[in-house]
Amino acid sequence: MNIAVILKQVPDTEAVVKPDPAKPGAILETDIKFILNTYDEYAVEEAVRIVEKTGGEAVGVCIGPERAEAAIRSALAMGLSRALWVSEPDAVSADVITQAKVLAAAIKTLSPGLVLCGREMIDTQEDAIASAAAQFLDMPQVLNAAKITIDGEKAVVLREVESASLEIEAKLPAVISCGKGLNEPRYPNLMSIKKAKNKEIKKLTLAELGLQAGPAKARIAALEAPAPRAKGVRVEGEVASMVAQGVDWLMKVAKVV
Amino acid sequence: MQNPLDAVIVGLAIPVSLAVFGRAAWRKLRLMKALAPSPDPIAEHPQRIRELITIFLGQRKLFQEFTPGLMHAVIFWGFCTLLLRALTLFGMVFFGFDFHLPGLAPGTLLGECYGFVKSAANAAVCVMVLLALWRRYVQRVPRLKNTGEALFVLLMILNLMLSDMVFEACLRSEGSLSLLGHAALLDHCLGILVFLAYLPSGKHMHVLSSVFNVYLRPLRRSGRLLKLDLADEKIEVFGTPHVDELSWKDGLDLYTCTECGRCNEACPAQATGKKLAPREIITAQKLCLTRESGRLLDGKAGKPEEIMPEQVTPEEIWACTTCQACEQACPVNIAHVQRINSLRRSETLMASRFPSELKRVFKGLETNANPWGLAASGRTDWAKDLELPLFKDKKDAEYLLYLGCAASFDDRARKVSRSLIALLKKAGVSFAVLGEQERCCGETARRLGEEALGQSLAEENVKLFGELGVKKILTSCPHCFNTLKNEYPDFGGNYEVIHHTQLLQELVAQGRLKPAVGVAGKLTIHDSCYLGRVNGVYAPARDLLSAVPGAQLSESPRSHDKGFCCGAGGGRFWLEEHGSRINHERVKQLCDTGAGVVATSCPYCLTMLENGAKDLGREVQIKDLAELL
Amino acid sequence: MAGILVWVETFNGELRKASREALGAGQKFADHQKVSLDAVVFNAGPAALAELGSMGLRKLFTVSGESFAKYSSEGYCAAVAEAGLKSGADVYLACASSLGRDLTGRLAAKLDAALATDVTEILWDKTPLSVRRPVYSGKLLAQTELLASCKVLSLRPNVFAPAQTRTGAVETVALTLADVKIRAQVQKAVAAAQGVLDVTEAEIIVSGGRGVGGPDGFKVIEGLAHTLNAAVGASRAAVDAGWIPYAHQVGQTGKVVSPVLYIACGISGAIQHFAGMGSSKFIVAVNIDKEAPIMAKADFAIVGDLFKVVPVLQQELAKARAK
Repeated sequence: MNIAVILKQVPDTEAVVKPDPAKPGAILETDIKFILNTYDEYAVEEAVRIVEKTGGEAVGVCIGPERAEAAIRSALAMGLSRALWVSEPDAVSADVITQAKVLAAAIKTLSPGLVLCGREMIDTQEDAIASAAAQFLDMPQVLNAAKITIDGEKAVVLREVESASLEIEAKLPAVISCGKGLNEPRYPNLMSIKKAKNKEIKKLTLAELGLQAGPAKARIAALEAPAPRAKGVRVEGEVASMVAQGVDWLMKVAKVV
Repeated sequence: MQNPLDAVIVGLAIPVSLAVFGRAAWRKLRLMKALAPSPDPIAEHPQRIRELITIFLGQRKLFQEFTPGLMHAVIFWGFCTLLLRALTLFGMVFFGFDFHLPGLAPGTLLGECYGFVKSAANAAVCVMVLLALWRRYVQRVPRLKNTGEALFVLLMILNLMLSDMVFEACLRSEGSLSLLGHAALLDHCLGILVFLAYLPSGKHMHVLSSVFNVYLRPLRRSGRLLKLDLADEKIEVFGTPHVDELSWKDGLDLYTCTECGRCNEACPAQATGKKLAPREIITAQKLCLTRESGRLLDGKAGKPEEIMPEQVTPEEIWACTTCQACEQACPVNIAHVQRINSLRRSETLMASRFPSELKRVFKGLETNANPWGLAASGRTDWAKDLELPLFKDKKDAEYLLYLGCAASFDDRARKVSRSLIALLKKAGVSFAVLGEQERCCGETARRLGEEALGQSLAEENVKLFGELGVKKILTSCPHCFNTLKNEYPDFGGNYEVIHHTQLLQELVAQGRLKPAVGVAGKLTIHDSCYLGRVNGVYAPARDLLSAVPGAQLSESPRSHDKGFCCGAGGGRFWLEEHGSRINHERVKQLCDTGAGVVATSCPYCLTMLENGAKDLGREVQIKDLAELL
Repeated sequence: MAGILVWVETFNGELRKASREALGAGQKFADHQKVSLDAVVFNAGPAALAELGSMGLRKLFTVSGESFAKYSSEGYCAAVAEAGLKSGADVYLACASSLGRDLTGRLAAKLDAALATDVTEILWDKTPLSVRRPVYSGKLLAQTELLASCKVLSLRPNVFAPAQTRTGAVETVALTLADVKIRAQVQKAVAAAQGVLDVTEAEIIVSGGRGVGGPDGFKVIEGLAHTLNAAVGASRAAVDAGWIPYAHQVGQTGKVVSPVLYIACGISGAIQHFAGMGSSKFIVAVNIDKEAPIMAKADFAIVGDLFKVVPVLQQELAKARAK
């Protein structure tokens, strides 16, 4: 079975992100270390495992600027056999729904039996790529999979929601987004990094995909710092009073009650 | 009366023995040649000759354990002395019982002296062999492997001694030789020939190879790991997944092992019941090499046997703390630590087979240049009130204070950093830090076998230090100290590297610092493996403590080069430890000295010992030397 | 703006709290923009219908039937889109629950709409429609303009004020859809195991360390965890001492977690542990030692004996939850 894996390059979670004063809506990219989106690793690992077991190809599909090649190579080093890459600025700066359309067009060229992606992009914190792509591909979707079992023409997926685990059956081909704990992504060692240097990354243009850049559906007008995080509160003294303050804090600040 | 039959028998046996010996020895030599070239240059001959004299002739390392050391030394020296006697006996077989070597004629002073010495040697060796047998079969010393081969060797030696003594006795008493005398003479000569023929085939080969192994040891100690060539695109194999990748020096190491087990006894992992036993790792590979020798001699054709995970298991190699106690104990200078590191390299770089906890460590190092993967701001936000000058702004600072990852991120180690910085300021030392520019030195990655990552960190640091014009580096971590000092030259970085205890010692000696804190009661010192055993730095701690008011030093029996590891080295700080803990064992040893305070010089030791003390509920305080001044 | 349609979620026939908030946002939006507010609800019970009837909605689309008894992205997406068509709405609101996140992406693609998820603030009067949402793990807020003619928003729970009661009758329209293609179905639901520290992200984790003192001490931790529907974690010291299995270990040699709330009881919080939970959104620490490293790192630190504090905390939280 051929599997398409959606990839994205994002800033590392520990990176200090600051708005770029010259480009509203963008961050300053100097001194930022970029990585393959953490959740995409689970998708890549799952795809590679399935293909190792049942044959076929696991192919990456990525929208990203020139620097994204590094992330694609690390996914190739984990075992994808090749990748498709759209690097045109119109696609890179597009909103999530437009990007999903572009990805769907690229994925269609692979005729995959399964499409995997990470459950969320850690930079934009968007989780809609899977469902939007599924709509454009006319496939069913299952999001945030904790376990995937391929059973002939269907996939049996375990999905965690609030206070329950759901077992969902989806007819293949389907789009499944992968959550933490789905598997243990393999470490790309030196050998696999070397091999990945020779794997094919094919650049695709929007024109080749039969798409045209249109007006943006949404755009980030500005990036702002959130309200400064309140300094840590320390309470001492009598138990009842400390607990009362604690409960108050949990309700109002942490909002978990 | 000399019997011509003796000459015939011996005369026939000599070529047979030489043929067997020659064939086996030649095969071994060809095998060594079939292996890879050694990456270490054979230079610095004066030091090598010194070691040859002290270690080989002087049997220095064997005396680390006095009784067996003396036992072996006597046997060895006895044998050396008796070489002349052996020649004499052969001569007697062919040329009659009046034969003597030139200068050693009976009746001359030299001759009589030698006669006396030889008899003494015979007796002494007999006694020592009996002692050896006692140790193996009565005392049942744990580290000794009582194989058939070991017994054979001991009995052979005993036989040689006794046969000589019997022959001598017969000759002197009778003038001519009874049957017993002839038998003894033949026994002796044939015994030597049998021994000779057997020599290249078993562990007793150390008799021939140890002189080479001692002489040729890489003077690059395991404080400096071998630098792999990662730039060459054609190289597809990293580390030593099969015996094909061993160098001839590795092969020599394997064959020189006498299976004495001193390495096992010294190993902290062994002491706490782990599967890792350095001797068994060497033996397993030796056996593998022997099994594969046919294929290797046949131009390395065919499928090689994988050393891991069956012949040597992952559990064993990942348990190593690289403390070098094994190498310290080894009488023939086998390099266990690099051997294990080379296996870790093939596991990590080729098979991605390593404990899962390490994936985060490697990712953290790759993305954020520290094993915890924390943002670089963590290196400075705790020290804002100290207003530390940055090296990039103060390029004329004398020292780059390279704090290292532990001292920058770990809360306990940060306290030590504060104490150290306060002392430096008090003494007026000119220093600056890298701040957020500081990156891990790469030690952890290299010890764990992730050579690509370790080299990339080292190269980036060398580039940065070059741009900043760094010449002298002061560090508070012995691991950083070792890597910056001994390994960075391989990457083009040559600096004068000093550990904080060394600098503090200098400052106190110069009167620029007066120890003020003071400690009441007994103190003991825990020597850091990387500062102590690996780099030979023991004195500063002792000197500093002698200057601390009120300090009474009570040394642990396992101190200096006999120090017992805290358990964190070799990247083990990041790994889960199952079973009995190395740090617990060390804490118990240190508490046995009766000391209330343990002085350390390493952030890892500090954490490991503090945790150990807490786990065991011991009251002992663990302090860095910088905190005691 | 032409009109607003809110997708309302129910649980056991009653409105979900977060959906009330979405309706509240819908009301406010409708007021500011002076447009009508409609809603679509699936499998509503009488209580839900009654509540929805008093929110000043213009139209309420109800969907029921075999195909919609259980949630499916394709089925619900088709129904909501149909409701939207009938409603004439061009702005769709939902709460960013698991199902809300599941639906809104597909819906936006189907409608070729602009999508903003996990919205924490709506700029009520701005044109074009603008919202704020957290990005880069909440390190920055993105002020996002939705430019397409059709817009879909999912709202972060616990942020917007719930709907007010309003007068005015609502027109209830029953929707029927034929031939909905549903290719992914829930086969069964299993209630989540209590207290288990799953690698999949737990929202709240209550953790115990050396201060817990023994395996029995963990009962106190488990009690609090149960009340908060949280998972139970532990520091290495507690696991090494054998008080709790290794599966619960959080730290550099255990699991790395990033819950919304991490409550550390009797844990010193040295870097080896912190490396495993430092990215938690909120950290609460209970420790008798005010100098413990974690106290400085916690958002809320309680200096006290955990055996005295935690049971009382559990009690009070149970009371607060019941309200």
